[in-house]
Amino acid sequence: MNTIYLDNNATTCPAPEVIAAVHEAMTECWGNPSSIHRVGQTVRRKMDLARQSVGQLLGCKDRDIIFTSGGTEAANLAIFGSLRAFSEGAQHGHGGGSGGTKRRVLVTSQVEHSSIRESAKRLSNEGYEVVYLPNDEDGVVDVAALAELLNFRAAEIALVAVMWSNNETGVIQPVQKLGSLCAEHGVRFYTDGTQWVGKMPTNVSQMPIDLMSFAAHKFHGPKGAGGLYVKPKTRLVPMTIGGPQERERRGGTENVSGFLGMGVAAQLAWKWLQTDERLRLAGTRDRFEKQMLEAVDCATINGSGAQRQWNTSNIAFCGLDTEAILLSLSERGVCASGGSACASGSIDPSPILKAMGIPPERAHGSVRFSLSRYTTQEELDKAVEIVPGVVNRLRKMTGAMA
Amino acid sequence: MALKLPIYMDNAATTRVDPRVVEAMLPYFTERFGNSASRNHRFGWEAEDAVDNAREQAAALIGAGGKEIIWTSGSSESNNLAIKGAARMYAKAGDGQPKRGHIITAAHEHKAVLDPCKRLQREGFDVTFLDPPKDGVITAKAVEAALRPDTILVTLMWANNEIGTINEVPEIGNLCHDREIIFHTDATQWVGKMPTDVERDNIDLLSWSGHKIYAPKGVGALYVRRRKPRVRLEAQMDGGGHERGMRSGTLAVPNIVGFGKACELCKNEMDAERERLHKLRRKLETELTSKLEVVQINGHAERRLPHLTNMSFGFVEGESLLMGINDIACSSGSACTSASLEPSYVLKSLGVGDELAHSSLRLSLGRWNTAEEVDYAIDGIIKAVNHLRSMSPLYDLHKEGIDITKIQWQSH
Repeated sequence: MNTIYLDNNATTCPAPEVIAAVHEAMTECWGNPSSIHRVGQTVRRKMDLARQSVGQLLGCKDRDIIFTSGGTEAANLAIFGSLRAFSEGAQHGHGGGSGGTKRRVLVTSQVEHSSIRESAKRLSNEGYEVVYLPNDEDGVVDVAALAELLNFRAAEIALVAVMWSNNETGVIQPVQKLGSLCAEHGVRFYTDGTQWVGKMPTNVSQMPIDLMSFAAHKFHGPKGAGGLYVKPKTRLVPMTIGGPQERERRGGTENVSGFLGMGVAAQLAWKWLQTDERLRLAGTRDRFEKQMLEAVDCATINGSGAQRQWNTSNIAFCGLDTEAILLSLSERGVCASGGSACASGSIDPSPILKAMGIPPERAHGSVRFSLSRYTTQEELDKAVEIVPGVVNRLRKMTGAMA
Repeated sequence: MALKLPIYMDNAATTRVDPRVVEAMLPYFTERFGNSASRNHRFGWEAEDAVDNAREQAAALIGAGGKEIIWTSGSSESNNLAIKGAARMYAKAGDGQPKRGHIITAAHEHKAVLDPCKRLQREGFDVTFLDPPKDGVITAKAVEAALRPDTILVTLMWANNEIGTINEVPEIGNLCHDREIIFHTDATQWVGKMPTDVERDNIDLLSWSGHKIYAPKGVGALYVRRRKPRVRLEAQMDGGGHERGMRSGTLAVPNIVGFGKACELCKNEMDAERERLHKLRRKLETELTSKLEVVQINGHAERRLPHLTNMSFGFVEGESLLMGINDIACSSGSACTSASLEPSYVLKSLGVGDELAHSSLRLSLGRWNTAEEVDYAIDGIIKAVNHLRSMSPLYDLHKEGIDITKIQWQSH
């Protein structure tokens, strides 16, 4: 049975070139980049090159990137690092004046990835204020609401955190507008680019973005490697401390094989983004959705009213249970998911779909299909053959739609 | 057969990945590339099985249970999580005071322990930095003398990364257990090389790293005791609730598989390996101390890791010495501080003078070192030291029997 892997928002298959680089890093280029001898310095130079490749993909200088163990660490560093920087500034600052401004408010949305959502919860438990921006039924954050909030409370806000594209629906947030508003009010803006970077053209230093997180394994790089873009002069309190690595912003011996693999993954993604391939794939995705809607009754596309990233399709099959659909699909070789892998196995409906106001009977039967640049037309055709059969059979079995 | 240069004797900084480890990892980059948190298809299940299997392998190396292993990105993260996570969880309130407490560590710990302790100090915790004695060994007695009623955490490394000295870990753990104090040990240089049993050795939290035991960089583990006592930690990274909620983030599955395999290999091969490396180290020290004068071995004579030596060579300048032996890759202190020209703070804390601290070499042997390499290193170091001394006026004075420390230098 051929497997059709349509869960690329959970993780992607590393590219062969990436695997070759990782392999070389483990067998030839294995020194510690902090060592001053040859064995270490060879690695240091390769790390520098990898950082340049990532800088090219992000559209920023290599020195503005902190390498981390992945998107979650980068998100935590952006959020806690910012909030702590402002609260430390308040305590140890000049007392009054700009240095002593107390900024203890985090502004975010209700459709964020769990790494942002849970960080916000912890901050709230620690006594910080968290303000959630409203969103529409597609999950798009309300720009006017942010504008109003900034008009009244800009001086209290330490950070505005809104993701670039959604991991469950692919819905793209108005990052340019949100960031510009923040910039006008001198408020720091962080965007979680985990699902965006490597799949969409990015020029972060030209955008009103102060912080942006990303993860290599979402763009055919290895797991355990990611990073945070940090605009110059953005002060963060580091989390993992105890070494001079990453210019003292993240201690610990570098994940050399991971970072060298990420460098190659960045190069490949950048090259691919110079082509029109993503437009072609967006067409393929749209056709896939159209065929699905034709073949299945009572199916809807979550987030379809908004601009969506080319690779994500979240389809609600009403009256069914996501887990049951996924199990049947898996038995037939189709790998998809109900939402974030980080929450899979939980029986609660996705908080993102909930925040979009999607009624439970639709949210409970929602399936996320996520493509990669290696996904073929043939695979999607096959999926279109398999999925409707599964859905219709389950509906017959459970008596749904009867 | 000609030796491959440079010779690598810096295994305490990092190790070359064992080919058997690489082989175990490779399928998890290709046909089994899944996210271990994906619960709905075989890619996820295979990845999760692999992670669980690695957990058992890692646990077996230290006498723990699989459920007691938390995956991290390496020892620095493990140390940060253990120290900050435990301090914030076990903080106690004094009279009308915010919840804080007393922590004990030592001045010659790794920076990844010292820096979190210093941060906690700034947050209001009281931290005692024990001064090591000249031999570098922190004894249970020294810890006992520093204990207070409000002590919540003791964090002391098992073996020192620069000099290899071994602290009295089981005894210190015993003290802590008697008083219900959480005991963490940074065992980065110890585990995989020396027998470890967290039950016998009374340990609550233990950090170690893949890249010191022939696995790749970017993966480490923290042992967190689950019974007697059940240790709780405040997570330092929030998100999907991976690792029993203590450490979120997609797991680096191939690296974890490699870590597990490396632990299994260490467990099987440790005893023979230790003997072999001890012999080589003995030869290194015997030859260098007998063929060169004014050489000092830093740290306790016996209570040291068998594969590591730290020696100071009088009348040579540290940087020149490293340049003189540039086909022997070794370090002059911890790799993490080797970019700075400051004398090692570890050696300084033992009372080694700046001159001798500057001219120290750490030679750390590992799985890939051969007897021929050791002979080459002995030869190379002797030549380099003799060469540098032949150009040293201070060494001439020393040979003439003048004690240079007693000379009154005049400025011109």
